[in-house]
Amino acid sequence: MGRVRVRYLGYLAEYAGGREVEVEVGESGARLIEVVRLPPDVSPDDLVFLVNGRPAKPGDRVRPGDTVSVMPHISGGAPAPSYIPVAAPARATA
Amino acid sequence: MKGWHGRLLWVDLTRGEARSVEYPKEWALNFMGGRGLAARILWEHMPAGADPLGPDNLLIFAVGPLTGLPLPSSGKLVVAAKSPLTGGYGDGNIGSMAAVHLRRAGFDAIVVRGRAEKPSMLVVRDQKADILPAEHLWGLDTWAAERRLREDYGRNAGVLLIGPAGERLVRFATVISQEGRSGGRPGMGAVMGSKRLKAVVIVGTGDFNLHDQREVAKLGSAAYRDVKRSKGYSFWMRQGTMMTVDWAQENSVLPAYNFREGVFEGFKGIDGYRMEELKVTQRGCPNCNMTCGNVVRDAEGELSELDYENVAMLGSNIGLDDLAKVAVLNRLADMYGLDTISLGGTLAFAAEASEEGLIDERIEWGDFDRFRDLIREVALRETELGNLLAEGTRRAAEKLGGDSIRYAMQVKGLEVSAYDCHAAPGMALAYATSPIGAHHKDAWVISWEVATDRFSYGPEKARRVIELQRVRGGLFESFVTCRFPWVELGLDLDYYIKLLRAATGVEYTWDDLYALADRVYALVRALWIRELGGWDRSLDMPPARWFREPISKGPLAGSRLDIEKFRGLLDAYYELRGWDERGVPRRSTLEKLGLGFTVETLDRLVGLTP
Ligand code: SF4
Repeated sequence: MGRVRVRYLGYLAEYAGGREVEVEVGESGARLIEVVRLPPDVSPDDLVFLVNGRPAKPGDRVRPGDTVSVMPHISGGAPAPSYIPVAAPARATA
Repeated sequence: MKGWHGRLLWVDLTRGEARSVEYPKEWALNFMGGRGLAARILWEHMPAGADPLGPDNLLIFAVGPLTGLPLPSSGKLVVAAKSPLTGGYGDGNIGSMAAVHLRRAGFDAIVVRGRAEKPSMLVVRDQKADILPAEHLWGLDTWAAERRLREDYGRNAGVLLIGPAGERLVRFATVISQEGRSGGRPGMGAVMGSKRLKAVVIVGTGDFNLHDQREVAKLGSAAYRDVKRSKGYSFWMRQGTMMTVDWAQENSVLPAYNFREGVFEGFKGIDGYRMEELKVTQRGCPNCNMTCGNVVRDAEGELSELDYENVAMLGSNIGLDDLAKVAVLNRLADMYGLDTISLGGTLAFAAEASEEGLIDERIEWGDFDRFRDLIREVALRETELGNLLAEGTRRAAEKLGGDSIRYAMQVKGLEVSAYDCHAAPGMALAYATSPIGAHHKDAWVISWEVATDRFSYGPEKARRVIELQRVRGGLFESFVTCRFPWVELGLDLDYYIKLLRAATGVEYTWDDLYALADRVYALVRALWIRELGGWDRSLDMPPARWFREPISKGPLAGSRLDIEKFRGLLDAYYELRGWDERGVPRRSTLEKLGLGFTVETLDRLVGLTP
């Protein structure tokens, strides 16, 4: 057994009940997504995950001693309407 | 025509006259307002090659069809001109009651040319405009001057003004409003100073001339409700953009010591939680229900309004870890009328130049007292060093010579804003291709980038930068409203197209709007080429430091950008935009976008690719 430290940034800290929480995991560790506590209406796709400061994915393995950071997209994360080819025709004046 | 007034207030300070003029309807439909309209006016009415600080430059204050309406965060205007810092197109947005009043006064923009003989101000009351003496205000800081103006014109008047830095033509002087709102990073305040225009006061009482006012009101109130219900709302109201300090530190993008590092050991002293301890109130722009101006009491007992950019640039980037002191520097910048981002980049440049022995003076990282004095020296051009730094980092480096250009963290002459890019090629591309120089406003791609494949140089990054540039830099800057309801709290973008249809009666589609955004981008690029008299893709390269000097601290120690791969990314960007390998829009692109009027000039200057 050992501990993983989980840091919550932004509004996620309000939900998780603190900016930093320690979670017990077995020697073989756990999947990242299993050690974080997220609001029910938040999809992991809308969040950024790091393990020990390096980019990580929700399915990655974390082990005792690791630090996980989880944070919302800040600024500019929301999707824009679908992509269209650049340089579309000029608009005929309305 | 509904949704626009179709009129500009044309002010000639040399002649001392102001008159209302109509402009072509086609400009409104195809360039919309704000940045798009300003770029179109500059192309048409500013003589090519004008001296940015001379009478021929045009200083433009422009609103758009959504400005000032009862919808989230709509109290913004764009201030634009040829930039004295970069020599190319420059603009910025500013939250101010002046935006709402300008629309109510019945104008889509104010265009100022010429130069007054004596310090002057422009006072607009609906359709009546007067150029009045302002000698009693010249020399006053922006707070004192604005308070005097409010005594004369009322608490709710719209006021835009410059401080002593703009008067002295500091090349990164901004336009200020409401004691802390600042706009026009590439020296728009210096352009105003060069015209001896201390202030613009606007009181408008007319209506907005809308197609369907009830629909606008209905959509607007639903949008306000959605903003308030968003998940991040309560935390945003606590910290606003200040939460980005922690975020940037975690992701190794918090600039430290002139962008030598992406983490700062003292970040806890300047982060959003520290700000909450010092916070006394919250301010914002008009019509905003997610106000983000966090006002703190600074180390000298005065009020100072903070956001992430100014805290990172005047904090970690100059090695200062005490938020109350950072707040002093920020307040001074606002009072003198200086851009906090370029100021932070310039002070860091000075500290590094001092460390490397390129200047005689000792300037230590984190030395609050020295930086405090230096801000005054820059704003007033008081000392030799202050005068040098008032020119911005690129010119300062050219004058100092030697290796000093290494320490000038800028693109096209505009200092980089607060994201270190040693390990963020997409964000580096956003800075490299921003239409005003290294600013994050157009494509804040870093959040997406760290969540996807951070170290990739794949074409998806170029594509994403363009998507963001379209929405943020192309549309929000032309609507003109604040982008934060969308970018920070996820307000559905469809609101904006519906609001636009309701306001104007024009059945815009997303394809139309994206084409409009691309048109504005290509026109701004055309202006750059015309004003510089040519183009070279080295102008679209990020600072060399990010390629040559890896970061040494934090989990990403050793990271730096790969120059060959970055060139490939830039190629992909040009290709997607329909620009050639030099970064010049192709003739076919210009024609498709309805910019045929630029073809002859550009072809003569650089020879267009078909
Ligand atoms: S979110 Fe902030 S910057 Fe945007 S309008 Fe509101 S107060 Fe102004």
